[in-house]
Formats: sequence, structure tokens, C-alpha cells
Amino acid sequence: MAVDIPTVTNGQPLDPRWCRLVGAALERHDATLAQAVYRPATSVSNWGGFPSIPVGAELVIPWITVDHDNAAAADLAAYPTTVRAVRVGVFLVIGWAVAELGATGLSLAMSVKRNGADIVANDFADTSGWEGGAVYALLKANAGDRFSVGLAHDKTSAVSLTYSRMDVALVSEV
Amino acid sequence: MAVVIPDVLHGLALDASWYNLVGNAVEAHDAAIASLGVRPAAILTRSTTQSIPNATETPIQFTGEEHDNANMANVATSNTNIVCPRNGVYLATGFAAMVATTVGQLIVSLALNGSMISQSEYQETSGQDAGTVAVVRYCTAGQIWTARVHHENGAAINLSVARFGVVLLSEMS
Repeated sequence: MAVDIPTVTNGQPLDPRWCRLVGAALERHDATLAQAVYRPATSVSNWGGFPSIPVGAELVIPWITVDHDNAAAADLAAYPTTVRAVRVGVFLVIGWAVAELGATGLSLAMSVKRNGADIVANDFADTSGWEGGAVYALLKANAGDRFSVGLAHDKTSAVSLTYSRMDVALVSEV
Repeated sequence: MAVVIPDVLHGLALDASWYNLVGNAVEAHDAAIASLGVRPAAILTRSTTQSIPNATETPIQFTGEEHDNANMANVATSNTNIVCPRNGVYLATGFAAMVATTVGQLIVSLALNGSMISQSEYQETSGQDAGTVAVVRYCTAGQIWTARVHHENGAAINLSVARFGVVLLSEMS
């Protein structure tokens, strides 16, 4: 146990140490509760930017809108493609994107990245119309690590990304 | 509410029992709050190949522990499992990628005590086939999660990389 509050006995004056221990513990609880309740969570999107996914190369999605950010984890002016981990922890990262390859037999590969390296990926096959979906990962990150989402396809001409989104949420401190 | 702190009145000396109730509550809160933000979680990884037979639901054998703060996993003794440490609602995620081949169909699934809970199915068209799966589920202490893959390539093919995570989202009695 982190704090040991002395037992009080009737008839004896209250030692100021008792009050200070209780006061300090309550202050600590207040700060810890605030941190636990208000977990860092950030959502960014590219809705209508239509960036081009080139032939034979990956597009790391540039985000144009911060939909939610309670931890100043997104700074799209300085870092248009990434959201940072604001402290060490276990994070849930979800990438979501839709593009239209427009032909069967092709695939859209989507990945969640940590510091530029693929962590998980999905390979969505084209059957008709729109291709896309969500890719998600639980991963541990250190403060300052950066998350992003990559897209690639095997079409022989460039493809416009239609809609995309990335959600980053701290689910546990470590 | 577990603790009831008696009301106090002006002019009356406080009984020591009041202080001791407060002191004991603060001690209990201190221990509970210190771990409030730290939820039991385990993340397993694999970055070497594992042969997956054709048309066979196969548990992924993990080789690395990216994170485990509650003794939920031990890849040295049981390399497929993540165990729920207590009753609660858990988030589980799985990921598998196969070596580049014509897979045909890839299923990535999550199982609890051997029963499939959630799965994603991907159709291969070219290149590397990969997929993720996730689920939120109530579990009791001791129940075992596994991440599995299934393909119908026609012959055994290698899994190339995989990831498997479980985290407690909410306590439940």
C-alpha cells in the first residue's frame, strides 16, 4: 500500500502528520483520477481531399481534419500524416479507408504503422465497386511514437482515395 | 457504497472512529487508484514463418511478448494463449499475414476456450494476403483466448507475421 494513515485514538491531540498524509493522498487521487478518466483519444480524417494512391508505391494518408483530440496528439500543420502517442501505454489504433479500384482481380492493401513501420495490415480484394474497410491493432507505444495509415494497390493507374479516417485511443497505462 | 463516513456537527468533538474511517478509506483508495489506469493487457507477436495446413483452423504460435502486465501470457510454455486474469469485458484483436502466394481465402479468427467468437474473411487476388479481426466480449477469469488462421490454398503455406492483443476494458463481478 502506498500510503499508511496512522490510527487515531480518542483523547489524544490529532497529529498534523495525519492531516497532511490525508491531504496529500487526496490531491494525488484527484490528479490520478483525472488522468484515468480523460484518456487520450484522437480522430483524424481525410474527407474530400481525394489524395492519389500512386502506382507501385504506398500512400501514407495525409489527414486534413482533426475530428477529436483531447490530448494535443495531432498537429496536422507540422505532421500531416501522423498522430503521436502522448505517453507510454497500450493503444488501440484503427485505420479506415475506401477507394474505388473499379475492376475485379485487384486489391487494396491497408496498414497501421508505428514510426513508419507496418504493424498490421489488411488486403481487401476487389469484387466490384468500392474497396476498403478497417484495419486495427492493439499495440504498445512510447511517448512520442507516431501512428499512421498506409495504402497501396495493384492497379496500373493511380487511384483516388475517397474517404479515410484514423482513430487512436489509449486503452491502458503501463 | 462500501464506506459510510458519519456526518459531523458543529460543537461536538469528533470521535476517533471518524478519523479512522477516513484514514482507512484513503488507504484503500490509494491502492485502488494507483492501478486504475493500468488495465490487464497482453500483446503477442510473431515475425517468423509458421506453416499453416490447408483448410485447417490453426492456432497461431507466438514468439514474442510486446506487453504483458498481468501474467496473461507466456510464450515459452504456452505460445498460443492469452488468459483472462479476472471477470470483465475484454477487447481482443488479431492479425495474420501470409507469405506472398495465391491464397484464395484467408480467415483470421479469435476463439475463446476453443470456440470461435469472431472472424474476418479475406479473398486473395494477388500478392500478400493479410487480415485483422477484433471483438469485445465478456470473459470470466481463466478463460483462454487464441488467434487462429484458416486458408484454402490447396496446400500448406506459411504465415509470415502475426499479432494478438487482449485488454480488459471494464471490470464486472
